[in-house]
Amino acid sequence: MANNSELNTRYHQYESPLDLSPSLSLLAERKERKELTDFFKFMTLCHAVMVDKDPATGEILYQSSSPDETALVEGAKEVGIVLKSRTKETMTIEIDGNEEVYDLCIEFPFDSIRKRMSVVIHKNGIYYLLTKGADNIMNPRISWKEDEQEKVDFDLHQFATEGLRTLVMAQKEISKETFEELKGRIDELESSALVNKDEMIFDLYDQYERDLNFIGASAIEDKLQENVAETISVLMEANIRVWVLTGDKQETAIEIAKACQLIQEDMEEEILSIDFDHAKIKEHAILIHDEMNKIYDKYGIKYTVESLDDEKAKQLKKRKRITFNEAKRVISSLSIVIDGPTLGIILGDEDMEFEFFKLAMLARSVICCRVSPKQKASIVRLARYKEKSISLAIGDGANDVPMIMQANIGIGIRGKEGTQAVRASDYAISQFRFLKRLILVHGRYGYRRISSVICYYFYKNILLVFTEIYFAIFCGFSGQIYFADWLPMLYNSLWTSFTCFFAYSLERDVSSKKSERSPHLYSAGQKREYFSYLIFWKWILLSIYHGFIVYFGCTYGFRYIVNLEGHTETLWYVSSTAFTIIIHLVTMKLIIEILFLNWIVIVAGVGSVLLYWVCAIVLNVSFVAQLFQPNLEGIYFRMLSSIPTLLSLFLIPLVALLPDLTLKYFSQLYRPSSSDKEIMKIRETNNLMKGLNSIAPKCRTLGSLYNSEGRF
Amino acid sequence: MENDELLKAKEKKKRLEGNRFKQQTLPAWRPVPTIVSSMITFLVFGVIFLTFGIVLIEFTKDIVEVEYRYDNNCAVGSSCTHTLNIPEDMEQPIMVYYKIDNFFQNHRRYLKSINYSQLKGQNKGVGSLGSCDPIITNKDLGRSTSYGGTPLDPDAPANPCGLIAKTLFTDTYSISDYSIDETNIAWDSDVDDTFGQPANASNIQWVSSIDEHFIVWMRTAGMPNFRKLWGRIRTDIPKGSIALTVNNNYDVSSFDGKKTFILSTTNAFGGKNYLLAICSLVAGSLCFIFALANYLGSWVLKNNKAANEGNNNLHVD
Repeated sequence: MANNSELNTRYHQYESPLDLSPSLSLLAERKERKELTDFFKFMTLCHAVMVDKDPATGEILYQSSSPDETALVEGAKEVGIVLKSRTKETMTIEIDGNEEVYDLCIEFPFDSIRKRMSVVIHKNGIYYLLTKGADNIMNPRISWKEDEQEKVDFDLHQFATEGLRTLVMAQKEISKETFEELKGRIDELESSALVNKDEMIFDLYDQYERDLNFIGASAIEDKLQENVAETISVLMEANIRVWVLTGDKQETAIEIAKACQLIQEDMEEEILSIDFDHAKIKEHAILIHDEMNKIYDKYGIKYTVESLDDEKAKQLKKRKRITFNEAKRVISSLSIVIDGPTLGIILGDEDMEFEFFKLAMLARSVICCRVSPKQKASIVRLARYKEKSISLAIGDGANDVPMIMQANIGIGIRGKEGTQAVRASDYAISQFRFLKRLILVHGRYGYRRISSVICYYFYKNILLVFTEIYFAIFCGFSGQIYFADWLPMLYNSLWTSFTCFFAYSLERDVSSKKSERSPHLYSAGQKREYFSYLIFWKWILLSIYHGFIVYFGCTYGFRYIVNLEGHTETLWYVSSTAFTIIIHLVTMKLIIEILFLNWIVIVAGVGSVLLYWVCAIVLNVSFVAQLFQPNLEGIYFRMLSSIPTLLSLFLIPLVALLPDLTLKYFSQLYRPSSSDKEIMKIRETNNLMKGLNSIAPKCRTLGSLYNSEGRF
Repeated sequence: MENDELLKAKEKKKRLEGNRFKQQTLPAWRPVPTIVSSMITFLVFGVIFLTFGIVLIEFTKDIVEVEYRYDNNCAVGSSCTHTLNIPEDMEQPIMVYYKIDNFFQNHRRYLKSINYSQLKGQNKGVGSLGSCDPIITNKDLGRSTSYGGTPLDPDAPANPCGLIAKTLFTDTYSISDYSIDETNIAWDSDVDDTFGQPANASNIQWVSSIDEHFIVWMRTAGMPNFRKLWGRIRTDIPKGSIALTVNNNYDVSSFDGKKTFILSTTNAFGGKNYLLAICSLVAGSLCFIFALANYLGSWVLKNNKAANEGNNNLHVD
């Protein structure tokens, strides 16, 4: 999700453990109270922010892969605790003008599995371990004072329901011996060559991040980028299923989902989440199934998820199920929210994955919260391979990289979270809202163009080959080639490629503005109106038919062709005429098929045919022909001097194209696809607008008349 | 400094936005058919096709062609005389063709069995005539005397070699009261560039490689049924009958072939062939049928629409 974090320091009306007096400013309040100073000091000390100085102004700049951390350090600066510099070993902070230097001894970096980070710092002989992280991870590591935890939890919940991102911070003092022991063990592990080194280091961290003292909690607003809600609702209108995969906690995620129209006013979110404390591992599946059944019941769908323990029954069920998407229906008011731990149980169990996707595909949107990067990737993988959907993943952070790599189309947003996502992506954009144009305009154009160009390329090559195949019947299947060698060789490379290259790289059915404004045009692709077996085979059958017309037209049309002198012709004359007709035919076919005729396409088309004629004439000149292709000697001159041949060069392509033209016209007139209808509608409104424009001047004059009269 | 950069960026943006090619906003014609436009298209095509068809038929009708198949009533090796009926006056020049059916001159192995340098007049040894396989020596050819009358060495290279040459058509024709001009029957380019003769040709060649009938034969036909020019008659032949004498030397029974003698006049549209004309007429009529179907379709569509609208109105009321 969009991540344009900006510090929005708010100090909540805390009752406890900190009572803030509303009359004082935060800065003044901070100076008064030690626990507040400690809290902000913590914020300037426990992070991975780098300090830079603007060479021109000398201003301090903070840089970090996590905008949240930058926000925290900036926040502390506002209340007079400034991080001045940071080296590999030390951190210098300034509190109300006094500098304090801390030794940075060890850093446990942030990790999306651990969901926390720690530093060990040293000053005046005392070592401190500072840890900050997600609340559910931190809670068990803090030794709470009485009823402190409930209050903090309540506040964190409040923050989260406002869509804020929360962090819990805690610290403890450690003795020099403990520190040295820890340091020694880390060094030892790091220099070792163990296979599971990382895991062992994690375990080690874990052992020390315990019995911490609560320092405070922060909540940061993750500001949405411009037009996120609009973009998402347009995508949903285009019949694209939008799933949010976020590491945020449930309340935050739901709030953000509401803010960006994923859960719209008339929609209801159903939460799929199970209570882990009260269930044994075996019962987890049953609990999830119960939750799913509740949703089915609520929306009146006669389907029950069964919990099958028996292996045989499972096998049976597996055999029955062919693909995931049996039901194409959508419940427009349903949105499903699922949390990471529950998802963790579902992912990996084929049976439950199936049931989950079956349910999730009914919903208009799905929100998965507290998911790890790995889980993000597995959800995308499931959607891509099991659901057989085309998936697009968009994200801006390093934690989105696995899912961006897994999706069919990975998109990175270049934001404040660094460039990992951008570097892993297929396409990079700088604002989430550009996704709309990327999909509805470029994506749709691209899909249309590629589908047409595939069909066209197959068409023109099958046409050429089938002409040869028909000839094979008449040369005793002896393998004799029909066209003189150089002709097919240059067919694709010179004479027919430029036309379709230019035509299909410029092809578009409606203008980009119209395309952007009509999201349902996008669903034509999902309905397979641009490419399907039927469309593909239509092209292929037509090319076989065209080959038939060209071959037999030439063979029997010129069967005993004689000129005024009475000479009869050879195979090469007939085949070269057929080849010329094919060049004319495929160019004409392209002109019929494309919807976007502009001067570039026309120049490319006419130019390619002219190029063919120039090449052919050069090849057929006696001494060139002797060098390259003796068979072609004089053939094109004779072709140009024979009236029936000249006639057939244009007549045969037209005869061949008659069915194409008829099919195209009749299907567009009497059985228009949804995109055809849309195009017709757009044309109609265009005509209407033209009509309006022509009467507009009159309206204006009328309007000014009325105004001068002071009436109306 | 910043302002400069901003200005530059703005200029660049303007320049890019002004580039209609890069912005893909080139003006273009987006043809979406309407009932009227498609009807017009079909009618225009129909008229074009029918005009061509009628013109082609008119021109083809002028051509007079007389065919006579003789292989089935004249024994090989004999000379027979037949009476041919001329249905209409024939204007000179009248082309004399022979037509052979079911002869695959376009078979790959047959076509490849030729040696162009030998045909150009170079003397080639047996070793360098591999392309003529399977007819390389005089033995393979089955000839023992040259066309000049000297005996040929059976192991010497066949000249000209190859299958095409070996199967040379050897029937000859004569018509009483009319002389057949057998010159200029081959393509000029072949006579000038492709075919030549060595100095001692009459002693080593079994047939003259610059003989025009030979050159005509060597220019292989594309189809298994083909015609080749044999000569021209330079005088008009009036309606009536003529006497044709055939020296029947060439055996076609081994491959179920047919031999036909043809007399034909020509015009700018070539020989007698109705296929293009028929194609044109059929396509033209189809176009008119489609236009009509379109008209009927539009009528049905309009009625349906009206009916639907009527229903909707009722519903609203």
